[in-house]
Amino acid sequence: MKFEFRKLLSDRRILALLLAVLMINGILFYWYTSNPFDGATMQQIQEQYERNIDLSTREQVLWDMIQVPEQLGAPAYTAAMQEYMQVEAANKRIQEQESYEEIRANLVSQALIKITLGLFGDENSFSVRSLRQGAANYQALEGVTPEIGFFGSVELLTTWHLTDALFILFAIIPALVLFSSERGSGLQALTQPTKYGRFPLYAQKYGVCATLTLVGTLLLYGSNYLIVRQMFGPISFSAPVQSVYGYSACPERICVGEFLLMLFGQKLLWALSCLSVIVVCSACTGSSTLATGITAGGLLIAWAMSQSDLLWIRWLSFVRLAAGEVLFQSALYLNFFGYPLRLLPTCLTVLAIVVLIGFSVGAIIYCRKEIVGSRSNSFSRHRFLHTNLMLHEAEKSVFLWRGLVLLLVLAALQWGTYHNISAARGTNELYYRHYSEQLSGLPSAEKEAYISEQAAIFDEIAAKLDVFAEKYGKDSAEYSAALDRASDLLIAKEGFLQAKDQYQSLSPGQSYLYDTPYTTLLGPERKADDAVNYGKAFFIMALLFASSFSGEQETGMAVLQTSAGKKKAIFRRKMILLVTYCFLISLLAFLPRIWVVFATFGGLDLSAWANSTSWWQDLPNGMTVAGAFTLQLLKNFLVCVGAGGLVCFLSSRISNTVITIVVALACLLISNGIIYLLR
Amino acid sequence: MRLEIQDLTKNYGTKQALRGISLDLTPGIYGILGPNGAGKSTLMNILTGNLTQTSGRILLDGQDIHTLGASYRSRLGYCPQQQTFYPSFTAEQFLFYIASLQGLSKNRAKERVDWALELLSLADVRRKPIRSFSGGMKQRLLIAQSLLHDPDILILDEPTAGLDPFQRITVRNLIGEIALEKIVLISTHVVQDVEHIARKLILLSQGQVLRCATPRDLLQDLDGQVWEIPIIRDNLQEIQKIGTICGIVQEPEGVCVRLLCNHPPKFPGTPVWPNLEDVYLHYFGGTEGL
Repeated sequence: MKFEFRKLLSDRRILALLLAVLMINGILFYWYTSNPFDGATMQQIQEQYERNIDLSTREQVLWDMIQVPEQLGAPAYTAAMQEYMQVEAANKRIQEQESYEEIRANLVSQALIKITLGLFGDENSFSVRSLRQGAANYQALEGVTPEIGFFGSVELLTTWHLTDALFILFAIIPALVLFSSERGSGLQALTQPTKYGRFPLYAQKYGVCATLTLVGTLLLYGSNYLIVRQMFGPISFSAPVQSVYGYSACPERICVGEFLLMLFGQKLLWALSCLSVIVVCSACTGSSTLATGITAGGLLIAWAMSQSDLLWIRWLSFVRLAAGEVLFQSALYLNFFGYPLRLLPTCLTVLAIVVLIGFSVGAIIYCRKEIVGSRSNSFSRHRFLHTNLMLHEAEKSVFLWRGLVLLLVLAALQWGTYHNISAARGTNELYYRHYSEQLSGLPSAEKEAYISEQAAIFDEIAAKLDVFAEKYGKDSAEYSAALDRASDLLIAKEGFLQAKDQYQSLSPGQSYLYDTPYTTLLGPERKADDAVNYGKAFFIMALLFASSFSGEQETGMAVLQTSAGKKKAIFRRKMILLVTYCFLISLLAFLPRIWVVFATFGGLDLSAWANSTSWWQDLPNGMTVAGAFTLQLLKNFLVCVGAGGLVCFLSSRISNTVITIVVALACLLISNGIIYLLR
Repeated sequence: MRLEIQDLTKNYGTKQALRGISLDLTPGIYGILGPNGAGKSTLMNILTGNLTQTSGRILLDGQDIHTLGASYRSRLGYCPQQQTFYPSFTAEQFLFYIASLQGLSKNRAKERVDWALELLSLADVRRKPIRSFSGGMKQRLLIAQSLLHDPDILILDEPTAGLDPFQRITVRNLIGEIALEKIVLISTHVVQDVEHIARKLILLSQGQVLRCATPRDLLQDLDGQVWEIPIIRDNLQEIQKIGTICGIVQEPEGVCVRLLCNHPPKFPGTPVWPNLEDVYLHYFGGTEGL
C-alpha cells in the first residue's frame, strides 16, 4: 500500500491542493462562526449567557422599548433592537433547555392522542405503529435533564455543510489518480498481469482512498472543532444532547460527546459510500473527464432523489444524508411493509451496504473489465479529410474534449431545472398581472382614464358598503351579504392598487413593466440562482478545457506541434474555441432562465427603459431592457471566459488532465461557493 | 511445461482480430512476426489477461489459465510495447513496486532488483526519477521488471524498441541466455532480434498463423528464390515487375538488386542464400501495407 500512497503524496500539486482545501475550509468556517444566527452571532449569544441577569425580563423590557422608537432616537433604537435580538436568541435556547420535560411530555401525549383519535388508521397501520414507537421512545427519556448552558459550538459544527462538499475532494482525487488515470495511461495493462495485480491491488488502492477519506474527515472536522473550541471554550460533552438548541426532540439517550462522535461517524460512513460510488465510476473508464462527469451525474441523481415525495427515496439520497444531524433531531420512521424502521439506524445500514456493494462492484469492474479495447475509433471513421488547422482544433474539442456531449449535458440540465416554472402566485398576483397587461408600455391618456375608471368602481363599491353599514350596521346579516357579494370584486383591489402605484411612480420616459418576471429574475433569488448557474458553467468548463493543453503534452503531440512551428497558431485557435465555447456555455447557463420566466409570465418589453423596473433603477435613462439583459449576459460571458481561461492556464502549466480537473474544480467551485455564501 | 493455444478467436464487433489460432509452445524462444494489424498485440494481450478471447482456450500444463488465475500470472513476465511508468518513482522504487505485485519477499526483491538493474545497465541511475530517463533507459527498465520474479513464461512486445544496436544485441543475448527453461514469446518487426535465437518463428497475418517453423526451414523454403542482380539504373522499373525487391546497393556501374522471385529472372544474376527479411517480404511484402 505504501506505493499507492507514494503515487499520491509524491505529487506536490495534490498535496498543495489538499492543503488549500483545509485552509479554505478553516477560513470559511471561521467566517461562518461570526455570521448571525436568529439576528445575533454566536459570540453575542454566548455573552448573553454570561450576563447574570434574568434574560426573560430583559427581553420584555427591550421589546417594550422598541415598540416606541420615536421615544428612543435612532442610535438608541438600533442598539436596543440589536440587544433585543441577542437576548431573544439566547432566551429561546434557554427556554428550550428549561422546558425540556414539558416538550418531552407533550411529544408523548400528542402521539397518544393521535392514536386514540383513530384518524391515522387501525392498530396495525404504519402510522399508528410509528406513533406508538415514538411515544415509547420519548417515554424512555423520562429523567433526562438538559444542561442549562451555551451549546452554540455544537450548533455551528452541525449546521456547516460546506465541509461536506470539500470532503468529496479527498475522495475524488485519489480515485481519479489511482484508478481512472492509470487505466487511461496504460499502467493497468502493466500491473494487471501480475500475481497480485487484480483484487489485492484493487483492495490496496481502495484502502488508500479510504484512508485519505478518513484523514480528510479528521482534518476537516477536527479543524472545525478546534476553531469553535478556541472561540467559545470547551464543550460540555457529558451534557444530554437535548441541551443543544434544535435537539430537544432527539429520541436518543445520549450525551453531546456521543452525539458528535456518532454524527461524525455517520459523515465518515457517508463519505466512504460516496467514495465507493466514485471508485466504481473511476474504475469504469480511463477518461478522467468521463469519470468526473459520471460522478456529477450521480450527484444530480442524488439531488433529484432528495426532492422526491417518496420518503424512502428522499431520505436515502446522498444529498440528504450529508446533513446527518437531521437524523438526530426527531423520531423519524420509514415504512417497511407497515413496520416503522427508525431512520437513523436504517440510513447507517444503507450507507454501509452502499460501501460494501460499491467496493464489490468496483472490484469486479477493476478485475474483469478489459483493459485493452478495440483499436477501431468511430471518431476517425466519420471524419472528412482536410488540412485546416482551425477545423482540426474544433474537431478535437468536439470529439476528444467531448465538447458536444458536455454542451448537451448542460442544455439538458438547464431544461430539467427550468422547464417547470409555475406562474401560479396567488389571487393578488392574478389581478396585478391583469392590470399590468392593461397598463403595459408608455403612459397614455387612455391608461390614465382606465385607472380612474377602475378606481371609481372600487370607490363605488366601498361607498355602497358604507351605506349598508350605516343602514343596517356592520354586524347585520344584510351587511355581511353585501360584503360577500362585493368580496369577489374587492379581491382585485390590492392588485389594482399595486399596479396603480407602480404606474403613477413612473418618471417621464419610463414604461410600465409587469414587475413579477423582473422580480423573479433580478430580485432576492437572483444571486443564489446566478451562483448555481455559474457553478454549472464552471463545472462544464473544467471538464471541457482540462485537457486542452495537457492532452497535447500527455499524448506527445505538443512536441510535434512545436517542431512544426505551429505552437502559437494552435494556441490562437484554441483561444478562439475557448471564447466560442464560453459564449455557448454562458448562453446555455443563463439564457434559459430569462427565456422561461418571460415565456411563463409574459411582460417582456425589450424597447422599454430598463429603469422602469425598480430592480434596475440605477441604470441610466435611455438604456433599454434589451440593452440591460445584453449587458448582463455579456457580464456572464466575460466571467465564463475568465474561468475558462483559468482552466486553460492550469492545463498548460500542470500538463496532467486529472490534476487539472481537480484543481480547476476546486478553484472555481470554491470561489463560487464563497460568493454564494457572501450574497 | 507446455502452453497450448487452442482455436483462439477475438472479434471486435464485425472485425476478426484473431481467427482460430492454435499453437503448442514448449520451452524455447518463439518470434512472432507480422505486419501491423496482424493480431500480434491482440494475442499477447489475451495471453497476459488484459483482453478476453471471444472463443478458444489457453492451457498451461493442461489447465485453463483463467482457472489458474493468480498462479498463472505469477509465472508470467510481461514487457508491454507502451512505455508507461509512474514518473515520480525512481527505477528502484518502480522495480520494488512490481516485485510487491509479484509477491516477492523483501529480501528476494532486493536481490532480484539489484540483479535486474545490473543486467540492464541501470544500476547507476537506480535512484533517479524515471521522468529523467531516455527512451532506451525506460525500455530497459520495462524489460527489467518483466524478469524480476524469474517467470516461466516471458511475453515481450517489441522489447528492443528505442535501443541502440549494442543494447539491442545485449538484450538479444540476454534473452537467449535466460530462455533455456522458459517459454519466451517475442513480438517484433526487427527480424534480426529473433533470427539467431528463436527456436521457431510464428508468422501471423490478418489474425491467422501463416507458418510456424524454424528459421532454417523458412529460409530453406526460399532457397533458390533470392537473387542478386547487377543492373543499370534504367532497368529498375522493369525488374520490379518480375519480383519483390529486397534491397538495392549502389555500385560503380549501376545498382545491385536483391530480388525475391520464384523463377529465374530474365536479368542475369546470382542465387544467394535467403535471410529472414526476405522471408518477411515473401509472406507480407506484396499485399500488406505499413
